[in-house]
Amino acid sequence: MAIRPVTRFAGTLPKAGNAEAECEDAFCLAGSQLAIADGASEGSYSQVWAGILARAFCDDDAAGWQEAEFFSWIEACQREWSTWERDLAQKDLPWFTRDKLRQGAFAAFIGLALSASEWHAFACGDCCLLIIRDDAVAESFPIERSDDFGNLPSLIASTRPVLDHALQVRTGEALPGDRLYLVSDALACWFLTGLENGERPWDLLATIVSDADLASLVSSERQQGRLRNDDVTLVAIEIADD
Amino acid sequence: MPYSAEVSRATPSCFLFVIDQSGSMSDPFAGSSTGRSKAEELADVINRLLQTLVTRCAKGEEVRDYFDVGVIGYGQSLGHGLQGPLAGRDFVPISQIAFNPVRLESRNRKVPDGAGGLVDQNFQFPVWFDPVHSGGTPMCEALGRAKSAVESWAAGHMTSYPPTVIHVTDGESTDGDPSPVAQQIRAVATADGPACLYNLHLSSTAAKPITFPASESELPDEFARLLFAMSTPLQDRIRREAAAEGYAVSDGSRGFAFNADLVEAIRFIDIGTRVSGLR
Repeated sequence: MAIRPVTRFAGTLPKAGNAEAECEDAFCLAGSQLAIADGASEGSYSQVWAGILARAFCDDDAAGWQEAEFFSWIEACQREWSTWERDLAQKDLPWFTRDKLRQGAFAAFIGLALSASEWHAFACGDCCLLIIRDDAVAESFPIERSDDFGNLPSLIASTRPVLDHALQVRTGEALPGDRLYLVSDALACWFLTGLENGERPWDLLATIVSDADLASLVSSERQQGRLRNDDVTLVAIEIADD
Repeated sequence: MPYSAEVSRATPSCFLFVIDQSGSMSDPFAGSSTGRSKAEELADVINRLLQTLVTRCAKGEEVRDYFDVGVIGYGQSLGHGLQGPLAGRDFVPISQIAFNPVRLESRNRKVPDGAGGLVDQNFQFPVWFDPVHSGGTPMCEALGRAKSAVESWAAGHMTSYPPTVIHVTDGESTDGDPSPVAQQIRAVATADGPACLYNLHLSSTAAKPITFPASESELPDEFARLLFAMSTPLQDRIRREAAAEGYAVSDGSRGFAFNADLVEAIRFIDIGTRVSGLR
């Protein structure tokens, strides 16, 4: 039985105190490919790198990939970054901009590809895939406990090779009725903390179908100290019969 | 929990460097063969640190004002250490530091060429602080000025991460016991906690450096014990950073280094100025 994804929501919010243009998260959805990337705030032009990663993943077809294909794909993204950087470097840039560019940009990433009946996820860092099935959490990948956030995650660098152990790959069944969420780290941590406290955070995620819904939830949870102040990205799909 | 305030443009934090510029700073570090004085080496350390702080705050072609920075120099005279458009103020925002080095020096370094070899890379080394060395060591007066500066800053930034004062000296005070004024600095506080005072003593002899000691018993003389007592104990996060860098630290470890050589001085200042994720 073939499946198809139905988009419920895709959107992003900058951390409180930052302007929209300063958001360093990026996301992309295209048919059966979805991805989010969380640019490291320590980096410069992280939003450019996050954007390259998210878009490039959705331009490709990752359902059949193993690790080797993913690493090749990263190299292609790094070449795109290098071209972009070369163009930028033609400008008359301040000394600190050049210094920082030399360090490169970094991002956490999760990409999801759907095939006829399966999902395939590729993760580097602490962006997560959450799967809700039959009113319960069927999957939380690659992080399963709220305690595991905050340790230095492995990130995808724009100018250095990704370490082998930094990539995590998983595949699973996708069943009609499943809800799949790609979430950036602050929201993932919020979700898992709620789950560990016996709550049903997926009920709240299911109510989000507009930017205003996301803003309202995020604002309320931040105010209560339940959601760390950080950029937030959410991509929500539901699996339907084809 | 103290020292947990977010460092952001709305709630910046501050660093104040209090730098000994006495005559003895014209001597080299013990055992040094570079022919450079402690004053010259220290000026390089401060310039590199300012460069690091600027780069940390850089986003694209802008610099976000996460920090206010001040430099006080003391020796023959006592005054603000930054020059030009930055002169005459206790603190300047990091963006102004970024755009106002006194000069950009052109330097060369060797970098990997990607094919197993090395290639020359020209880069710009910004300079804000030039070496000075003459006169005595009016430590009390200098720390008194530092105390006024952070007190005034804290009063205007009550929700910010507390000030960090890094005092660098190569010898004893010539204007009395600095302990009382050091305690006054450490009594300055924001809602997030008391100011931190770290003391970095630069070596005059070839004795081994002692960094982040946890007790007076580890120290060789009265002067070291005095500076130790003046230093703030390392807060948890900084202690973890120090441990990650290979230092043997414990609960009582203080932000103090005695007999530091150049390498140790750089490591000490680097650890003392690390802040958690800049937002």
